[in-house]
Amino acid sequence: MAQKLSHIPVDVLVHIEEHMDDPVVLLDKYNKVLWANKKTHAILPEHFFYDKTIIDLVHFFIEDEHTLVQFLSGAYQDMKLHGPVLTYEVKPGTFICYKNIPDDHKLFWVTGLENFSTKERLLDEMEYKRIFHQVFDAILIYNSDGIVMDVNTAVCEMYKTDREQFIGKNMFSLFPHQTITDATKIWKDFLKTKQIEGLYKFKLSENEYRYIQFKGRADFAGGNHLGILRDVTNSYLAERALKKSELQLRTVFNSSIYQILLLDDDFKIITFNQGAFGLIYQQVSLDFGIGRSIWEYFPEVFRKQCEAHKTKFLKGESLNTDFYLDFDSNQQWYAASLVPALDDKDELKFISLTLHNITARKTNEEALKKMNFELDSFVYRASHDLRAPLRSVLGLAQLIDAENSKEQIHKYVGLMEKSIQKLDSFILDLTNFSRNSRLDIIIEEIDFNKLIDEAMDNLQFMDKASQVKVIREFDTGLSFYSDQIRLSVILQNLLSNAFKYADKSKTESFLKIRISRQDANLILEFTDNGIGIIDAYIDKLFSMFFRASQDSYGSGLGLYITKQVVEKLGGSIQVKSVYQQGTSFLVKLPYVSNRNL
Amino acid sequence: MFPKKIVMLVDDNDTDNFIHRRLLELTGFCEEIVVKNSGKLALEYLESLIPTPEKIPELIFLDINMPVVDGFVFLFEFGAFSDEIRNRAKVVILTSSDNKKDIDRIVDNDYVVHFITKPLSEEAIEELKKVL
Repeated sequence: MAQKLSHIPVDVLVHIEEHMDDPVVLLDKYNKVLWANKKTHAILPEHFFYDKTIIDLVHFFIEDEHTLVQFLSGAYQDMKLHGPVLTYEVKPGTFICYKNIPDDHKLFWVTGLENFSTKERLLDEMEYKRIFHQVFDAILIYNSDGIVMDVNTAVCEMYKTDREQFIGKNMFSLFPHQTITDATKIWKDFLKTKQIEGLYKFKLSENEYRYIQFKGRADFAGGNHLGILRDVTNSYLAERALKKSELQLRTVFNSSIYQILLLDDDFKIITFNQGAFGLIYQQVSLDFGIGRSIWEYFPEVFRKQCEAHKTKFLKGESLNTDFYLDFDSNQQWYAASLVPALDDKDELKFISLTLHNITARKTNEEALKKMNFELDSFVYRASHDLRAPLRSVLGLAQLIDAENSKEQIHKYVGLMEKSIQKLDSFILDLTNFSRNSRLDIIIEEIDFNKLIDEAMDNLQFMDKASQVKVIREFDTGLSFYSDQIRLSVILQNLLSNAFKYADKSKTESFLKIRISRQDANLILEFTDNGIGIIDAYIDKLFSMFFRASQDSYGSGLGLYITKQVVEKLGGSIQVKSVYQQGTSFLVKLPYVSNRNL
Repeated sequence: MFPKKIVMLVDDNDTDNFIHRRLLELTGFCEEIVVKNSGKLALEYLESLIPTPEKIPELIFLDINMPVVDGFVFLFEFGAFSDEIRNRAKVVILTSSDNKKDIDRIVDNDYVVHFITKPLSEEAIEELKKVL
């Protein structure tokens, strides 16, 4: 017998003797019994199994003939595989088991129901545990009280802690950022709907939070419930960052003071900001929205520029231009900037159109152009008028050089004086002009008699000054405050005009100055019987460098300056004239009766 | 051919007219000098000479900066006169302006033969004689 068992390790047999309570026999490859354990010896006489086959043994255990036939005719096919062991329930509660071991030997044993199911469960559990810990998903098993029964290795890795830390605790301790109220509600919902789904946050370390997506399903493992945890931190944070940057961009887009539209390659609107809505919908057309062509709203000139630039857009080149929109009563200028957006394959994705109202800038530009033009012509005229008297003096000096007659020379000197006076008065005009625009207004009480006296004093050298009778008619009790220097500029210019354009053909020339108060205004009226002004020149009378008369020797600045000064004082000036009869200037100034006003 | 028979001065500045008349007399440039102190009066005078073309000045000294009818307006109106008048009277600009724009505008004009900056001097008259 010992010889037959030669290649069966003795320790295997010892192990069987020690651990198996059931009768066990060892079979060779022909299913002949080689060895039996003590338990077998205890229930069966030796001759019953030595040199017998498995059939004889089975016969012993299966007393029922019918069952025996069944077993014998197809037993192997009916045997269930329990791991590496084949089992067959020969009678209720009694199983025969059959297991291959190395060298074509087999073990055969008979066992009861109780023993068998424990063994079977142990085998099942081993298999389940192997799978449970090896899967990549983090799995949580919890019972109907919400207590954690088990977690797998993936959960431990996710939370960087041991399995023991979870087991026996409330499952919501995995999600510490849930409030108790939230947890209670979630749990109630779970009991009702048999499922939980949510996103939870927990603090992994001082600066590190993890976002966990949890899905739980009820009644999975023998009355327990199963949940899967998924760490979605990266995608959650990326999504949140994207949403945030989208919100930021949207905010910037909408709060921009510019009007912005995104257009497709056919200039149709993809989207637009608040500013664009405000401009187009509120001012151009109620028929406005995504998908519309911008050419329904913007002018043809602009369209042509954009169409002409189309191939350049495809190459990524932007276009800057401007155009205007005609609103009811005014023209609004817009600077337009079109920037194409290409993707990484250099294909045009959209064109952004940014509009910016530049009406104010345009207006300033126009005003500046006008000012420059005026300045140019001013310098041109002023330089001429400054030079002309000097060139006269030069001519006279040359004549004196060639002249012998003392009488003639005397005459030349007189003419020189006249030229110098003219130059001086022109320079005075320029000074007045510059002072008016530059100096602050100083308010003092005005003594009209004194100012007129001074003006006449300054003008006494004029040819006809002494021939014109100046009549003063002032209202009594006038107490008028104004800027003395500016007022004397007005008086001096109007007086000098009356003297210059007095009509020699009339027996008596006069200038009547009437000063009166009319409500809130002070009225200065200068009426003369001079040569008058023909109607055609009346409109241009106050223009810079305008000289209406063939006989004018003035700078053409006098009335221009007078008007500027009057307007600076907040007043107005008007002229009425009848050719060859006389002229009347009407100056209206706000009546100021107190220096503090 | 000097001296010229009749010469006209057109300038709103009486002082300059006086200077220029005196200098033309002193240099014996011409036999007769007509002075008009506005462009309008000068045009009217030329118009009055249509029946007597022999009295038309051979030379007109013309200022540019004058009120109402300035040098440019005068030249424009002058262009409307008959060939006889236009062929007889040559125009010399005599002005204190040395503005380039003015000079360019004037020099392009068919009737203008010379440009002098005020005041007229003996040297300027000698120069003018060479041109004429």
